[in-house]
Amino acid sequence: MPNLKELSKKKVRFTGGHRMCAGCGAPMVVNWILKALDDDERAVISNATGCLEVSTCLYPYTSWKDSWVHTAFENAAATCSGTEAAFKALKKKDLLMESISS
Amino acid sequence: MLYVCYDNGAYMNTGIQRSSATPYGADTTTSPAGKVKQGKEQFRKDLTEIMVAHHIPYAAQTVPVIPGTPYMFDLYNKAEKAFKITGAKFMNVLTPCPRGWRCDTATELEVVKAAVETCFWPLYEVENGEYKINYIPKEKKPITEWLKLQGRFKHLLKPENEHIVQKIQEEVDRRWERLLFLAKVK
Repeated sequence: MPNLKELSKKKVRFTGGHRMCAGCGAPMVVNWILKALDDDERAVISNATGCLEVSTCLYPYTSWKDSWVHTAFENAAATCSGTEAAFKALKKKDLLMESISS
Repeated sequence: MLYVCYDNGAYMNTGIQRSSATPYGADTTTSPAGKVKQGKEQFRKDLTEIMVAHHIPYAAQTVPVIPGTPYMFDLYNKAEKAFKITGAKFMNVLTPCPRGWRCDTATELEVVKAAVETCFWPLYEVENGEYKINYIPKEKKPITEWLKLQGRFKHLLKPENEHIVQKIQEEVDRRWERLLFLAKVK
């Protein structure tokens, strides 16, 4: 069972100040899922259009501390798999600017 | 890649239009309950099962963190597990939307809890085709426990709509029994 005290020390990857409704369940789901990543890991998040997308990226602000892409309804997964392919290709060619583990 | 779907049961962003994820009988702006119709007339599409049918390494269904429940860390545990698996993973999370569900923001997690306790939203995971139910309620509650907490189902609790509630109960039971069979619990 995870330790709440330790979890509360984890890096915050999704910050407050977004425009989701009071009581919306989505931000807490996002927070808990991102908590499952190790602090030194970096995430690429592809977000399909919806409340979560429009309310967290009002230009010029963003709530996301990780790389974040807005996609259309149907291709959130396709964008992510494309990013993964690009990452692998860059790694193979040794073109990544810093060492990032996949 | 981990695909997370937060299922709030309608197109809430554009003003609560019915979607394939909307439960049977729910009142939305494009499936309004009135004199002739009593809300949506189709059952909810089971997205988790659709993903399981793709034979991906990991597919799970869960709810947000509800303090004080045996499944409080279910969401976290599943996310942690999913991140460690290579390949396409999927998680379906029942997420409260106070606007669309017409429920109180302060007690919305009680609504989600009711979804679990009535087996409307079972907590389970499928790892390489192996089903595992993460929480089996000691006493399965009637579906009205989930319906009565939300304004979108208000019309279903009228005496003349009892047959609709009965129909929903039968479908929830059928899906739950099927899940118990797949998880080899029964």
